[in-house]
Amino acid sequence: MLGKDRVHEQKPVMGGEDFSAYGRAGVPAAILWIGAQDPKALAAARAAGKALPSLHSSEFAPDRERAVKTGAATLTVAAIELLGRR
Amino acid sequence: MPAALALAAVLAATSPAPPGAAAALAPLDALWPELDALYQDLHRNPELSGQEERTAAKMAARLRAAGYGVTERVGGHGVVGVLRNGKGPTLLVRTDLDALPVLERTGLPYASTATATAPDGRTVAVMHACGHDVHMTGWVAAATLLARARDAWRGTLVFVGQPSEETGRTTRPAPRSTTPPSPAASPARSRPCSARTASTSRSR
Repeated sequence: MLGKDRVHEQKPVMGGEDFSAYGRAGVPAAILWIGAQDPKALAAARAAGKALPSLHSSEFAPDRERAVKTGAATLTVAAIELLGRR
Repeated sequence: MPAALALAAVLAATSPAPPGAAAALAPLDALWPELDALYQDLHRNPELSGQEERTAAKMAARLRAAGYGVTERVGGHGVVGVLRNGKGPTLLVRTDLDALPVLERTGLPYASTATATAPDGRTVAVMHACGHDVHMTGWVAAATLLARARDAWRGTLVFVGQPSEETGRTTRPAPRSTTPPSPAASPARSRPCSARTASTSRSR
């Protein structure tokens, strides 16, 4: 759906995020990390060797349409995959 | 194949999208103007952990409008929407609700100028600097799309709006009643979003 080069499976990390409480309650769980930066801004920053303002930054400014649509589509398709009629 | 791996395969399109997925997503572009208005409203009106009263009310209203049975004030300002659609598994979809004590300096037309009283009594600027406004808007969109695509799935959807992700202080809900599943999020103290900060800045 998103493209093979756009989905990466991540190993669990010991970061701060209480979502693990759902999994520890005994429910199989997956958390999605959605890339939210404007691809052009990201490419320009990379070319300049800089980092874009990220989470918790006062200048964090996601590419809202792309990020929201990616999240919405991913959740929707994931739900249909898991609850779909066979 | 474990569910998480199967999910990754579908999203990456190494496995075919499930039947009905394309039709379910078809209204997304037409919904965008309304979703964008919601996003900007959320971004302009961020609320600190434990103070997500207006945010939670907005989420509850959107779920109700989409046809979900909604319970509010679950574990603080938590929201739980349930949509039953025949026999089948139950799937919980979670968003966080809270924002951070950060002064926004993006210069965006919809930048937050909000302030709030922090737990220590100080007045602080508040900003959705961790993307929870993105999470909420995508979550509302998915709830709406799935409610419109009931032919494509069977089971029960539970959409949870969880307060206080940033502080890890969601109150454990009361013992479960007959309504399914009470999301018992009562995690240890944590440093939320920090891992995502690192991975996001590097690779996205």
